[in-house]
Amino acid sequence: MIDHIDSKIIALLGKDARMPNNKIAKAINVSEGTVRNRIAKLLKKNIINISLIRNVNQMDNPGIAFVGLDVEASLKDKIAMQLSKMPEVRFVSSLMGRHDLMAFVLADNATELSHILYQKIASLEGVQFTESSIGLKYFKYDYKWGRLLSEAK
Amino acid sequence: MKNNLDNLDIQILDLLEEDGRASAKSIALKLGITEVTASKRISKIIKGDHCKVVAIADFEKCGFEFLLPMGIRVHGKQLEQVAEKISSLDAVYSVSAVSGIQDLEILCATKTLDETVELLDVTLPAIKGIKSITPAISSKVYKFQTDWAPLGND
Repeated sequence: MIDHIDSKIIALLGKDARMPNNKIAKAINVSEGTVRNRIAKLLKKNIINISLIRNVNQMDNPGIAFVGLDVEASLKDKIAMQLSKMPEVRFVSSLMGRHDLMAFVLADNATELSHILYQKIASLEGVQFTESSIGLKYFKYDYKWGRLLSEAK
Repeated sequence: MKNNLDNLDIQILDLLEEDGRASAKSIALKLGITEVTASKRISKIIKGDHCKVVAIADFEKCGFEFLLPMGIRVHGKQLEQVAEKISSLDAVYSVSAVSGIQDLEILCATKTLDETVELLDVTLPAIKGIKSITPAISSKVYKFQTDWAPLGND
């Protein structure tokens, strides 16, 4: 688990991961060595990951969909893995309630999105029903949080 | 998206993608440019609208046991107000307006079952304009990619 010094470092790096160690040290009143060690530890334990995030709003015409899937029970894990392998599928989770699986899709445009939804996802063996919602506007997205799954890379 | 970026910018972008905290010096060395040029380019790239270099923290390792992808339906014309109110909640990680059965798709993260219940039974229902909440708990996350996101002007 993390303590309050870790939390402060995570908050600062969550705004700008290139903030120099000496500036972080000054901002939270600890030594530069502490900052260096803490960051190394957070990275090593995969509690944080330094990432470059590209701006979806800079894409010309992105197609984004939130897809709920109801699937054959025995194939749930397999279907989740198949979805995870698709590069346009950005998020896959099994669910309790609502649907069996949930996936987020980001495609370059609406044509590609419909191809992924109807040709690639709905046609997977064991998929019984899909409910897709198309993203229209983004009110909040706290990119500082995620799940760091080493096996996904 | 790379419209305003030249070849050198894109090379720098690729190196930052590999290691977001790479120093200007090491980038300069790799690309055979001066440290001053590298430093200027890096500032230009990450201060623009194209991308950000940030630390992403793991929900679970930071104590958030529950990840809740929920659908929200909203009465009539109140979508924007409801979306803004939901966005102001700390437990809410993302809020998107969508077309389909739901009006909003939101993702929440909570630390305990008590917090989850509070959010579902007290906090969200108190927001005027919400017609229905379709909750779910994420049981296993198979993939969570973070290299693209809608970046606002924060």
